[in-house]
Amino acid sequence: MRLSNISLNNLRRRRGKALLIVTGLAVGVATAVSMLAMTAALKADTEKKIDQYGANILIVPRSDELSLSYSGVAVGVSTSVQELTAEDVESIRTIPNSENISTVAPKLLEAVEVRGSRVLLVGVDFPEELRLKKWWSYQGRKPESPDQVVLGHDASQRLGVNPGDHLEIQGRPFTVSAVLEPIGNQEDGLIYADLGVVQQMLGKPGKVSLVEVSALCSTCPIEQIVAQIGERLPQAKVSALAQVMRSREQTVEQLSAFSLAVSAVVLLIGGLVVLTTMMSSVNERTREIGIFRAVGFRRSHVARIVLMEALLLSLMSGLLGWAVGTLSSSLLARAVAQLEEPVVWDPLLAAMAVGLATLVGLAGSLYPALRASALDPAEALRSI
Amino acid sequence: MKGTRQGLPQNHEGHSDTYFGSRDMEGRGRSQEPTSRLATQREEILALIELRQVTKSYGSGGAVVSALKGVDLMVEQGEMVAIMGPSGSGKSTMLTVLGAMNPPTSGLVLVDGIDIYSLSSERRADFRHEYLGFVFQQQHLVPYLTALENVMIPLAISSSPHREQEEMAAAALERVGLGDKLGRLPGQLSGGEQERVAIARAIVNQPPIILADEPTGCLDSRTGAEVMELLTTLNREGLTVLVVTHNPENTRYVGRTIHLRDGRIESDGSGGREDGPTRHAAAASARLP
Repeated sequence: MRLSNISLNNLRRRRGKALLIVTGLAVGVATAVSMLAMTAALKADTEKKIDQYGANILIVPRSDELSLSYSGVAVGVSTSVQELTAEDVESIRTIPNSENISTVAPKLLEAVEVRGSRVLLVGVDFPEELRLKKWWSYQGRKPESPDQVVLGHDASQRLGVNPGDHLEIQGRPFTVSAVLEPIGNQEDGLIYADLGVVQQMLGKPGKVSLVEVSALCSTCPIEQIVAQIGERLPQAKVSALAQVMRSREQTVEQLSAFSLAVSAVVLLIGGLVVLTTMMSSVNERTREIGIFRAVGFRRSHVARIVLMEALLLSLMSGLLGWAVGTLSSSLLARAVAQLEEPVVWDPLLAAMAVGLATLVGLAGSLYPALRASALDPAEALRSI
Repeated sequence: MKGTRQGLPQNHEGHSDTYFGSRDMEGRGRSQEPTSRLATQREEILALIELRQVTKSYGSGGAVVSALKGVDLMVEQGEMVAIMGPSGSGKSTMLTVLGAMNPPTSGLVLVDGIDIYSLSSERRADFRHEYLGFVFQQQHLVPYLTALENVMIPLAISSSPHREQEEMAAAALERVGLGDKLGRLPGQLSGGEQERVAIARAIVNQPPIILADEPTGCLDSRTGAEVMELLTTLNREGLTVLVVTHNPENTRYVGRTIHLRDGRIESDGSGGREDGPTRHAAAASARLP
């Protein structure tokens, strides 16, 4: 016989109390697991959705001059701008955190004369552009060949063209494949054409004016990606649209803090359930403890019996709490929070759940264990 | 073997060997050798247990109750002693003081030459494990453990293999006549059988001293007689047995009877057993006021 046999036998005998402890602790752990899993899924979901709002990194050629525009209104023309190249664009995807980059959308800008009006022609990589600007809605169809263009709402009005119409730009014929619905910014006045075609028309093969990048990084700050791109492109100015990112990070951080606070409260309650139940168990076992002490058990032996029971129950609670927490968050994420990102069965979270349950279970049992071990054997035997 | 096992000090007289000096505090699965030594040395006059001017008071201020008032007592190895007296006379207090569970207010308690209350609480636990077997009035068996497991409790803190522990516990139960009831829970045993399990648990660790507190208190006279017979047999095999009892009938099983009254020894004389009082009983009687 070992001390552990005594612990196990006692647990078998006091199933009600054991069940109460496991339930109390498992509820706490399940809440914590559920909150953490939901937060992780929500974070992934938020990142995915924020990605749909467009670029969060802007790469433009480095200039010695200050910006001469404010809120989209240009008051002068910069003269010393150098353009970026196709090689620069390709090197963006070679940074260490390249897996965090979802979209790279290069653009070549040039003001051109069309039907007597000066319009800004933008050469774009259409598949990348459409992935970046998921909010675009348009009449017509997506451009499918290099001789098709997309017009902003104001540009189509000014030039008097509709989807399917022909349009000549600098002597080259194009078909209008789509006209964008009004957006409310400068995009309403633009003509979008295939990047290669525009480069050829303007005599700037391989050149781009700017690159918009959409990057996601849940484990590293956006500044890190910006710095990595900056190292690859020393001739470019790389800037994060910090406001969007900070707002996103703040939302997730607040959510995480809230989850942690709720989890801590529920775990505290679980710990109190362990404390009161173990105290009650110890009080009921005064006679047994008196016997153990009388036959020569040291205080540490008695404490070990109580703590071993707590450890066994905590391990069970941790595993149960992890399973219930992950399952419930998985169901809630889809049914209630309507998250697109699935909740994953994370073994790391399982280890954390078991560790947390053990910590709370042992902490809640420490005082009862000390009380049990401090029982005076003569007093304990007399008390019956 | 030295009396310094697990840090136990040398005996009170300063000898390096205690009387049970060869007993191994670690040897919780040890052989019969120490009790055999007990049997061969019974003729020597040595006090296995000695109380010197022991007082024990409970409470404080104006509500102090003196349970023991300057008690002197010597018990030889191999004696079987009945401690009698009315309720509140101090019998149970004396037993717990002897049992290393209840420190006296003043005085000295020596067992095998060891001043047991000079030991730390944990060392006293080791001492109880090594030297003492307790039999309680209400058996105090653990209800969720079988008879065999109850007897194995003192062995749970030993390093001996489970198999060996089982064999020792089964042998102890066999010795008290319960070899066929190893797997029974306490609730499935009669009162007499439970008392026997308690005795088996007290002897499984082969301690030299058995302390029994009203072992027949809850039993009918026939079963009580059987239990006292069993204790007598163990005493004849070399164990020193001290029995606290109310029942005068039980004195016929002992060699010496001590009467307590108001915390003092009122009388110390022979019991009803044919082998008669020990020499110490006579000496102790002579010292009585």
